[in-house]
Parts: sequence; structure tokens; C-alpha cells
Amino acid sequence: MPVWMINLADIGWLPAAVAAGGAVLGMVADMGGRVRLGLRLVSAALLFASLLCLARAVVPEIPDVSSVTQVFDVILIGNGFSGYAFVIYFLGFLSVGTGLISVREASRVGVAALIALGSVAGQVLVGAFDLAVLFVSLEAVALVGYALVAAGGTDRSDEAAARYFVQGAVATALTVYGLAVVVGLGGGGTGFSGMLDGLATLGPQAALLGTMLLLTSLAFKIGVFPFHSWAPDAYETAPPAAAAFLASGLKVAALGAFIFLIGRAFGPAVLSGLNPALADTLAPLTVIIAGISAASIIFGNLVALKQTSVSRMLGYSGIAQVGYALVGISAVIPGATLFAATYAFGVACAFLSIEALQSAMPEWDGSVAGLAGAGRKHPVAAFALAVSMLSLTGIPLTAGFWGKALAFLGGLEAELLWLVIIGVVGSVVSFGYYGRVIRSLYIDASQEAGESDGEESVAGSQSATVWPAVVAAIIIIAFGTIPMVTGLDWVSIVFGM
Amino acid sequence: MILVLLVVLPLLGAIAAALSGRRNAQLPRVIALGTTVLTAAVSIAALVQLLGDHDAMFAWSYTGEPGMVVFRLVGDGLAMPFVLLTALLGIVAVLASWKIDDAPGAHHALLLSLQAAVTCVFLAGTLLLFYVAWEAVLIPMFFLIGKWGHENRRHAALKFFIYTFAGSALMLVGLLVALTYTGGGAIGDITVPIPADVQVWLFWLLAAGMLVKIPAWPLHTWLPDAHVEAPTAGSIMLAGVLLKIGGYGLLRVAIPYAPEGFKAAAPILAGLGIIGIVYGALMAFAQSDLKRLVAYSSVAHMGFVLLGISTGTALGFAGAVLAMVSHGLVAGLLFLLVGSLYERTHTREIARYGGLAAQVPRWATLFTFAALASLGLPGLSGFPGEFLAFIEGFGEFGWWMIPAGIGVFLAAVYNLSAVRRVNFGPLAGEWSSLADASTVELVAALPLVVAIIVLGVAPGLVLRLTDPVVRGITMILGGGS
Amino acid sequence: MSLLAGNPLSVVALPFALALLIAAGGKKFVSITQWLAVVAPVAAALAGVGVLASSVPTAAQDVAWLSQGGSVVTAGLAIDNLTAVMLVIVGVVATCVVVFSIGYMADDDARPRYFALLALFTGAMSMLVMASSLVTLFIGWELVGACSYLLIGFWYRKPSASAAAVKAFLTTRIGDVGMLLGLALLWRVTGSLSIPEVLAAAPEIGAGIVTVIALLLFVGAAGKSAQFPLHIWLPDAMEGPTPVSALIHAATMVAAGVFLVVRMWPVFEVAPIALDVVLVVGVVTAFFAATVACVQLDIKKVLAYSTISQLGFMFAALGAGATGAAMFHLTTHAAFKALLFLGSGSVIHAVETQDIREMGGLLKKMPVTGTTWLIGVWALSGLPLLSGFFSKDGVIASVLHAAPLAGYALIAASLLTAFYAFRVTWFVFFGSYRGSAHPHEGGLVMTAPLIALAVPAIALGYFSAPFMQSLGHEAEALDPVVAGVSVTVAVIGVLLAAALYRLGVDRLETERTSLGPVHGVLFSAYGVDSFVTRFLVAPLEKVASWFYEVVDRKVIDGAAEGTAKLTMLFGRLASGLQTGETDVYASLLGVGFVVLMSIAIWLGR
Repeated sequence: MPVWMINLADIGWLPAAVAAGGAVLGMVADMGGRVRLGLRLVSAALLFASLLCLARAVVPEIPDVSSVTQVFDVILIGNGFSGYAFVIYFLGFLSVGTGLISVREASRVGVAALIALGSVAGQVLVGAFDLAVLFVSLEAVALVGYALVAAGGTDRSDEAAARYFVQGAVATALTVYGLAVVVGLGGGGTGFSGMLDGLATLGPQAALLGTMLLLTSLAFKIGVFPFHSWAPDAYETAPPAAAAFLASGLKVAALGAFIFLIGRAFGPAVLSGLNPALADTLAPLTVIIAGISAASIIFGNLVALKQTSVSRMLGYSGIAQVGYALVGISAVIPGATLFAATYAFGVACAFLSIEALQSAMPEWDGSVAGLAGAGRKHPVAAFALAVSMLSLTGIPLTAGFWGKALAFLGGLEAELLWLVIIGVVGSVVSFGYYGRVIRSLYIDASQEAGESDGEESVAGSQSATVWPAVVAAIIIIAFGTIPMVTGLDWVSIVFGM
Repeated sequence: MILVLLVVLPLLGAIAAALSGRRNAQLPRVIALGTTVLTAAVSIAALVQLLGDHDAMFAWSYTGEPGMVVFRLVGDGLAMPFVLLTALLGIVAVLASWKIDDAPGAHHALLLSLQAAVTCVFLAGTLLLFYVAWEAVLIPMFFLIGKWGHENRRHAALKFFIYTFAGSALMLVGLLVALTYTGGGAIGDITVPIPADVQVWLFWLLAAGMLVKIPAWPLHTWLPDAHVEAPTAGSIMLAGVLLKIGGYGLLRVAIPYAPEGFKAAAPILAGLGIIGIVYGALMAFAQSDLKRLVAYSSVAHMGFVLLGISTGTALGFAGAVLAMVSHGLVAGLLFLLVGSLYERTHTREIARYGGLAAQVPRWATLFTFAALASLGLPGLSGFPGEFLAFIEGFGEFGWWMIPAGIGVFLAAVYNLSAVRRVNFGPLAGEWSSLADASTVELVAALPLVVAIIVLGVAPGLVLRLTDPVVRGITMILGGGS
Repeated sequence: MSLLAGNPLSVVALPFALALLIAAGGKKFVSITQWLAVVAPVAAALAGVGVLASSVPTAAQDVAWLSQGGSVVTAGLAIDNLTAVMLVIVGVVATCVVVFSIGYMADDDARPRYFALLALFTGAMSMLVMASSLVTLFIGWELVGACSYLLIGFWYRKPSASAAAVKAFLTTRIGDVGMLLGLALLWRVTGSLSIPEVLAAAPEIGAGIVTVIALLLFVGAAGKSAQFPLHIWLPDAMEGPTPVSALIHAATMVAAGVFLVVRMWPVFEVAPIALDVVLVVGVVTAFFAATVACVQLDIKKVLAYSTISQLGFMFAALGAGATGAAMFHLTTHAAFKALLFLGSGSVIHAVETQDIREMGGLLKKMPVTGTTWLIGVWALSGLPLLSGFFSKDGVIASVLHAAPLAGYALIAASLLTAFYAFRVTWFVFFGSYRGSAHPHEGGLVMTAPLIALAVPAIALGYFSAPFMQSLGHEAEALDPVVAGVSVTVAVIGVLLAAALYRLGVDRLETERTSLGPVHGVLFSAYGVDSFVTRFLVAPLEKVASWFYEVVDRKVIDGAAEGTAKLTMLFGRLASGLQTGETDVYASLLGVGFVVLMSIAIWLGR
């Protein structure tokens, strides 16, 4: 590999710059009325940014050194999470790649630019090594989220965005309180390492309060029970392509931040090494996280079971899925991050297929039952959707299996057998609704098999929007099958373990 | 390498069948038949290699990082009987679905991938591969039931999936626990014994998935629904092979990893087995639907398997293996026959049949034969396994075998009453133009009939293969004695 | 001969191969292949004769049939003198029956099936008697049962035939389960199923356990040999072709129970309680079946109950410890009962009915059948000079010696035997013909077997001494008192029959009215059959369907489906939290935090 390429990949801020630049260029093109060009610019920039991150993750020649910036502590690229950044950028690329058909034409490029900026904010968020960076990027991600929900342009999506915003404001307030306690009272600085020193000087209950406030605001962002209520409305009302990024890219960024905050700052492993007394003080956190994990799995799965709308079902199931990510988070970070990445691909694939199906079947009301016969009429998109459903269930041969297996393994190593069992039972229940989608796609096909002939051509003309879903499905299958032969090592490199 | 072929060949065939199915309806059938026959030939070659191997085991591993085995196929004496059974039933299943017109390409592709997945379960050499293959079985079966099944297939497909998934998800937890304690991913690579108190619950976690698959009473109710709704080929594979991965898993994974847990659980397992024997037979007797009758008979037969395993003795294990192989053959034959009859009459209602021996003598002869095999007639394959389970069970559990003996009696009751109601008596008028078993069906049935007789006369053919493995398991159980 | 005698496996394998050949030949070649079926029993007989002649038993050829991890269940075949005797019986009777069948079944379409099954039966029966391992014995035991099932149901279009076939199999299966338990218990206490090893170990087994073993084995024997109350299948089994009845349900298979007890004698010998049970069951059966035989109107039914009764005699002898007498009676019975059945077959073939009211005067029309029949009933009644006289006296003498009361019962049964035998004879062969067909002899293939069987029926009695010696028993002299009593009662029985039925067929009506309700009881064989149907079979069906509908569908499957439904219900309840009001959501966030914080503080106390 040429040296210039290595050097290029070694520039930590480059992906962010490329993506942000692409967003700006796209907006410029949009101002000139060149919508398609604008979209292409944005997606090209996102692809390039993601490849830069990927190269950083997998090319062995690139030195594996974390580059922590000087002013604020933030890892922009480097060991342990460039693969994670790749996931965020790549999912942004796939979302924009659909052409955003479900968004009003006037705001398509704008949404694309939002996705690009959201990816940048996501990269910074997961790389945050400093409470100030965490706070700022968290707010940036949140703002992109509100805007994406509003991109549907309907009254319902406006309402959902407004609700999301109101709750987000409450969460922001909690974050600020948390910062006030941890940084203000502790006086130890905003960097993670300094922050711990500050916490140690606080009384145990104050330390606990500060960290709880911070975790709660993050818990809101990742949408776990009981801070979940924005998610289903947002997923259902946002345009599917936007929801794809909302549910995958932004979610995985927030999840990454949560996981890394635990891993870098509050994890028992870290604490007991640095400060055993503080570790004791913060010990209840582990129990609290296990508790909300279990509650999310139970609640998300149960409510998802009753949903008729596919998007809304994905919203509720997402609550449960985040619960899985938290299983054993404190013991095995790799399990949680790998799960987050596989979940992101799964849910992205689902929304991307929905985007394709919705544009191919304008009469579809978004319900599970309405998918009957889609397997025959739109085989490609239906296949991608089915694959994503299997992956989200965690069936072997899909990426989702490895995610869940490692998450559960983490839970077992943390000696949380009860939580793992709740998790697997939840997985079983989840096939009750994921499986219904597959059943509708393929088994209920015969009901309206007769009228399908005329629509073959429609399916053909929409193939331009199908490919992101197919790419996601192929990645899911590849990541599901290849590790059986090669082992999970390369997967862990890609996903920043 | 030959083991990889056993898994890959059907997969390649599946892809070819799926692709060819779009243009031509006949081509996928031929491809599927060719693939299954070729796979059977390869499995015989594997058998020859095994017999020539002094270690009585051969493996194919792909080692990723040094020291960590990630992909490993093992063909030893315990796996090979089941691999051969799968290969044989694979051919039968393809022949049984010869007449399927609705998307034959997809149907045969699913059938072949099912075969690949099941073969992979039997050959799996690592815990994770075992689980992956185990669950991979569900996907083709879900579609086979759902798309080519009968009236109530929508419910049955989902029920089958979720019910068995529930068991195997718990099994996954067990496998992961085993993994965390022993470290090595290779099955049987137990360098650090798992603590005895852990084994007690670990065994039940592992067994959860297997007991659902077997299926042990009272976890059996998915079975009749799945069977009745499944297309013929699906039923053949389901009863013939899929149920076996449960018993196989107990011998291969659950007992070696949690021997102490197994010892503690053995009386309960035996109880479930005995209940299954009586209960399955009683339920079979109560049926008015012929396919459901055969389905419930599986519960009874697999009860013997569970009983044999629960004895914890070498002969008990041997009996379980024999009973499983035999049930694969007999249930395969029965479902083949019932399916072919349903194809012609479009009813499974026993009351509507009668006197078929006069109208379809070849079919009726085969059916009577299969019923006699199913009731465990000595000289046919069902007897040696159930006999061993019975006498070894008596050795372990004494007079608890009396209900099992009643089950032996009831097996004769439901089988013979089925033969009487279907074959004997005056011919029911509506079937006066019923056609006899076709050549394809006879070709499919013949190898099963031959295998049933051969195994009945010379069960040692199987026992010779399983002997070293069973010795190993009993050694683990006996603490080295 | 020595080739066959030295290779017991060939005696089993040959018939199986022949059966396959006959079946494969199909209808096209059946006129040739049916003669192949003769080869099988001839081979069995030759093997038996070979061993008897050289008096060198063939050593057991054992193989490790089921072996795993060091434990072995052996299977094997051997021929000793006891086996050789059985082989000769099976061989001779089967040969006669096959030849007879060629004539009897000449018009049947399904002859390939018939002769293949006969060959199969011969092989299985040979396996049973030659077994040197209880597993082998059990395999043969079950296979003869299966052949019997298939042959009883041979005319499957008749609902009665298929019902009888199922009934036969199931009733004997009850016995087999007992036997299976016996084998399991033997396996547990001796660790072996090889007959010589088990027998050698028998004296060391504790008294209680050995009694249980013996009783369990006897349950098997009672099922196969139709002893009360497991006798109910045998009368129904007469639905099969008559030659089959002669072979399986008179001479060979039904005697297997007696053979089993003799074979396992060292086990029974040390279990006196079990022997008492055998004695009681035998005597009860002998007397009970004889009374039933007195009123039957179907010629085969009479013979069937007679067979049950005679088997009871044999078991009574066994119970009294006289294995030699039992075996001898088994042998003579095989000859004269097979002869009687074939004779009845000849009659049925000629008059196309089994109802004795539609027969009569056949002695003149069918002299060979009539004469041989008379020889048969003479022997059966225990009248002097023919074989039955000697063997039955042996039985009665030994039982009288062991348990006088039982002996008197047997003497009464003897009286009844002579009575029913001559009652039938009177109606069938004397008086005038009352039927509508034109009776005639059935040709050489049918008469030759009758004559062939008549010879041993006459002469066997005089070979009592060598017979006993070959089985290792002392030859016993005839007890003049017993012989005198027994001849007297037999003569009384014959005279009674002659006196009562001399006047003709309308006496049957008188018989019914004069006996009143007793006739009904006797005719229905004391109602055992309907008792079983009403209190065992019908409830089983009800219990099964109740279990299916309530326990399986509603409770167990209901639990599974109910779990799914309950989960859905919880889903609905949980959905209630999602009300849709923004302020509720926002406050949920606050409330959630407060709750979690409280928990955290509580945990961190």
C-alpha cells in the first residue's frame, strides 16, 4: 500500500471533514436545483469517509495508535473504534443511497446533508473522551435526530418531532445537571480521567447522582425503557430512509457513547484498577444497567408483539434490542459493540427494504399484513427484509447471531445468567413479530397472487432504490456465515473490539 | 475434506435447483435427485474411510488463529450412522416430492439446504457450529411447512419455529456457559471439568433444546401440528432426521459436558421417556387422522430413545442410537406412504379408508410392513433398540418398566388398528379407481425396506461404529472406571 | 441331514429365502413355487432327525448380537434333543399342511402370499425352538406371532378375519410384554440372556425373584398357548384358512408356551409357587375349555376349544413337574390335532360350511377323511391303543400324584373331551347329509397328508420309552388304575354322546332349551370375550380419546398456546403505557430517573 494512502488514512479528522464537505457541496448543488447531483455528492463523500475509516481499521500497515486531540480529549480515529466510525458513515451512505424517495423532493438534499452531519457528530460522539465533547456531540446528534423525524413533512411527523424535541430537552437538562455535579462539584475537569479524580473527592451519593444523571441522559438517547417513548413514534413517522439512519447510524453512535463511557470511565474493570473506593460507590450502576436491560427486553418485545405497523414494530423492538446490547456490558465491551454494529445493520436493512417496498407499492399502508404477496412481487426487497428480520431475531447464518451470542457470552462472564435467560426468551418472543413479517412476505403470498402481473415493471424501475437494502443484506449474510469458517477475529477488527 | 463435501454438496445443489427452477419445472427435481444420490455416495465413501481409520474418527478443521479451532467437522462412529440416515432420507424426500408443481425449484432448494444443515449438526465439531447448524435447520423447515403445507400451515409454521426456537435458545445459553467454563470451542475438548453444582443446571439448559426436538413429553405438542401441516418431504425429514438431532445432542454435548448433571437428571429423563412411550401410543390410538397418528407414534418411539439414554449404560446408549436410526427409517417410510395416499385421496381421515389392500396391494403391503416395523417386531429394525432400552432401563429403574411394557403393547394396538382400518375390511366405495403406489414411490420405499430388515437382523452394523464413542461417554460418566 | 443338523442357521435362513422367492415369483409362478414351501419344513425335520439319530447335540453357535462398551447380548442357535423333537414335530406337521394346502388353497388368488407366509412361519418356528439365547427365542416367538397374525387375517376382506387377526396378535402381545419383563429381570440378575448361562445361574437366584421370573415367563407362555384368561384369541383365530389352524393354532405355535416352560425348566424347578400357578391355570383351562367345546356348533370352534383344553392338560403336567409327560402329550397332540384340523379342512372344503348342523353322513361320502378323523378323535378321547391314550394317562397320573384334586378335575375334563369329540363326530360323519353341496374327497394332495398324520396318531404311543429317554427322563410304566379310570370315563363320554345325539340334529335345539341359561354361558365361553370387550377394549378407546382431547389438546398444547396468548396479553397491557401525551412522556423521563436513582441509592447503602 502506498505511503500516501497510509498517511491519508492516518489523518483522524479527515473522514469528518470529507463528510461535512460533501454535505456542504451537496447543499450548494441543491441550491442550483441539481437534486440528484447533490445526493450523489453527499453519498460519495459518505462512502469515502467510511472507506477511510475501514482502511484505518483493517489495513495492518497503518499504525494502530489512537490520536487524541490536544484541546479536547476526543479520539477521532484509532484503535478500538475506527471500525465503529466506519459503520456510522457506511450506514449514512446506504441511507442516502436510496435516493430518499420517501422524502419530499425539495428537502431531499437537505436530509442527506443532515445525515452526513449526523454521521460526523456520531463519529465525534463515540470518540468522546471528554464530558464537554460528549455533551456537544450528543446535542448535535439529537438535533439531527429531531430534524430527520420532521423530514416526513406531514402533521404527524411534525408532531412526533416536537414530542421528541420536548423530551430531548428534558434529557438535555439532565445532562447539564449531571455535568454540574460531576464537573462543577468535583472540580476535576471534563476529561474522563480527570473527571474520575473529581468524582472520587465527592461524597458517595453525590458521585452516584452525577453519574446517574449522565447515564440517564444517554439512556434516553439510546431509547431504553423507561426512557424509550420517543422512539416508536419517531420511527413510524419519519420517512423510512431517514428512519434507517435514525435507527441505525444515530442509535449506534449513542449506543457506542454509552458503551464507551462505561468502558472508559465507569466500568468496574476501569474503576477497580484506578480507584477501588469509587468502584464500590458506583457498584449499583451495574445492577441498574442490568435492570433497565431486562426491563427493556421485556417491555420492548411485549409491546412490539401487538404492533401492526412494521415501522412501529421496529421502533418497539429497537427498545428490546438496546436491552440486549446492555446485557453484560460491564464485563465484555466487545460483545456489546459487536451487537450494536450487527443490530445497526439489521435495522438499517429493514428500513432500507421498507423504503424500497414503499416506493414500489404505493398502496401499502405500512402494516405487516399489507406485505402479503410482496415476496413474489418484489423478491429482492422482500428478501432483504426477510434477512434483516432473521438477523434481528438472532438466527444463525446472519450477523445478528454473532452479535447476540457475544452479548450473551458477555452476560455470562458477568455472571448474569438470569439476564441472559430473559434475553434468550425475549429473542424467542421476538420471532413472534419478526417471523410474522416473513410469513406475510412469503407464505401469505397466494392470497393476491392473481393481480401481481402488472407490477413487475414497477419493481424493475425501482431497483435503483433497492440496492442499499441488498448491500446491507449481503453484509448481514456475509458477516453471519464467513465467521463460521474464519473465526470472529476479523469481525472484531472491523467492529472496533 | 470429504466431510466438507457432505455439507457443501447439498448447498451447491440447492443453489443450482433454485436457479434452474425459474425456467424449468423438471430440472430442479433431477438436480436434487442427482445431488442427494451423489451425497449418499460421498457419505458411503466417508463411512469406508471411517472403517479404515484406526482412531475411528476423522475430522476436518480450519484453524483460524493458532490454537483456536473455529471450524471443525468430525465424522466419528456416533455421527456417521446419522449422516448415512440423512443421506438416505434425503433421496427419499426428493422422490416423495417428485410431483410438487408449486415452485419446485424453491422447494428442492429448501429441501437440500435442510439436508446440508442437518448433516452439519451431526458433523459439527465445535459448540458454536453445532448451534449454528441446529438453528439453520429451522429456516428451510419454516418455509417448507409454511409454503407447501396444508390448510393450517400459517399457524403451524410459526408455532414450529417459535416452539423449537424457545428450546434451542435456552440450549444456546447452556452452550455459552460450557464455552465460558471450558474455553475450547471444540466439542469434547473439556480440559477443565465444569464444577458439579454448575453441571446440575447446565445439563437442563443444554437439554432444553434437545428435549423439545426429541420431543419429550410434555414438550411434544408442536410435533403433531408441524407434521400434519408439513408436505410429505418435510414430514419425512422432520420425523426421520430432525428429531434425531435431539437425542444426538444429548449424547454428543449434554452428557459429556455435564455428566454429573446428567446423573442427577437421569431418573427424570427416564420418567419423561416412559410417559412418552405410553402417552404417545395412547394419543396415536386416539387419532382419526392418519398422519397425526404417525406423528404421535414418533412421540412414543422417541420415548424409548430418551429411556435408553437415561440409563447411562453403554447398551442403553446403543439402544437409543439404534432406536433413533430405526425410527428414522420407519417413520420416513410411513410418512412417505401416508403422503402418497393423501396425494391420491386428498384425505387423511382414517374412517374414510378401508379395504385398500384389495385396491392398492403394493401400497398396502408396504404399509403393513411399516406398521409391523413400527410396533417393534423382532427381525425388523425397531426391535433391537427398543429391546436394549427396555432391558437396560429395567436394570436401572426396575419395575418402572411396567408402564413402558404397556407402551409396547399399545404400540401394537395403534399400529394394527391402523392397518385394520386402512387396509382390511371391504373396500370403501369411493376409492374403487385408486391407483397403486407409483414406480417412483416404490423406488423411494425400497431402500428403506431393505435398511429396516438389514438393521433388524444385524444391528451390529451400527453398534460397531458407535462403540468407541459410547465407550468414551460411559467413561466420562463412570469417572474413568 | 448332518449338514442341516450341524448348521442350525441354514434351517432358519432357508425358509426365509424360500419365502422371498415365493413372494417374488408372484402369481405367475405360484404353481411351481408353492412346492418350494415344502422344502422348508422338510429341512427342519431332517435337522431334527439328524440330531436325534446321532444323539449328538449341535453346539450353540452364539454371536454377539448387541454389544457395546463391553456388554454383550448374545444370540445363537443350537439343537439338542428337546429342540430336535420340536423340529421334527414342526417339520412333519408343516410338511403335511403345506401339501394339504396346495389342494385346499388351489382356487385362491393370493397363494404366493399364503405359501410365503407358511415358509416364513416354518423358519421363525425353527428359530424359536433352536434358540440358545432368550433374545433369539423372543425374536422367533414374535415372528411366529406376526405370521399367525398375517395368516389369520389372510382373507382380509372379511371384517371378522381382520378383527380376529388383530385380536390374536394383541392378546398374545400381552403375554409377550410379561415375557419381556421376565427377560429384563433375568438380564438384571444374571447379566446374560444366553439360555445355558441363565439356566446355570438359576439356582443361585433368590427365591422371590426366581418366582417372579418364572411367573413372568409363564405369562408369555400362557399368551402364546392360549391359557385362561389369555385364551380368547384362539377361537377367533379360526377365521384363518383351516390348514393354518392345523399348523399354527393346533400343533406348533400354540405349543411354544409349553416348550418355553420345558426349555426354562431349571428356573421353574426352583420356583414352586410359580409351578402351583402353572398347575392351577392348566387345570382350570383344561376343564373350562372342555365344557365350552361341548356346545359349539362350528366344527373349527370345537377343535379350537379342544386345543385350549389339551394345552391345559400339558400345563397341568408341567405344574406337577412332569415335563416328560407334557412333552409327550405335546407330541401326540400335535399329530392327532393337526390330523383333526386337516380333516375338518377337508370337510369344510367339501361342504363349504363350518356349521355342523349342515353336515352329516360324511363317512360314506368321504371315506379317507372319515376314517382318519375317527382315528383322530379316538386318540383325542384317550381311548385305548392310540397315542392319546398313553400320553394323556401320563399327564393324569403325574397330576394325580402331585395334586389329587387337580387330577380329578382333569379326569372330568377327559370325560368331557370324549363327549364333545364324539358329539361332533356324530353330527358330521354319521346320520344323513343335511347340507346342499356335493361332498367329495379333495384329491391326493389332501388325502395323503391325512393318512401321513394318521400314522403317528396311531403309533406314537408305543414310542413312549425312547421318547422319554431322549429327553433324559425315566420311562414310566402305565399306571393300571389311572388307565382304567381314564378309559372308563372316556367310554362313558363316548356313550353319552352317542346316546344323546343318535337321534339327530334336532337334539341340538333340545340341548339349547334343556340347558337353559347355562347353554348361553357355555356357548359364549363364559362371557370372557364380551367382558374383555366391554371392560378393557371400549374403555381404552374412551380413555385414549379423552386424553387426546382434554389432556393433550387442552392442557398441554393449551399451555403452550396459552403461553403465546398470555404473552400477547402482556403485550397489550404494556402497550397501555404508551398513551401518546407529550407531557406524560416527558414526566416519565423524570419519574424514571427518580425511581432508578432511588434504587441506586438503596443498593449503595
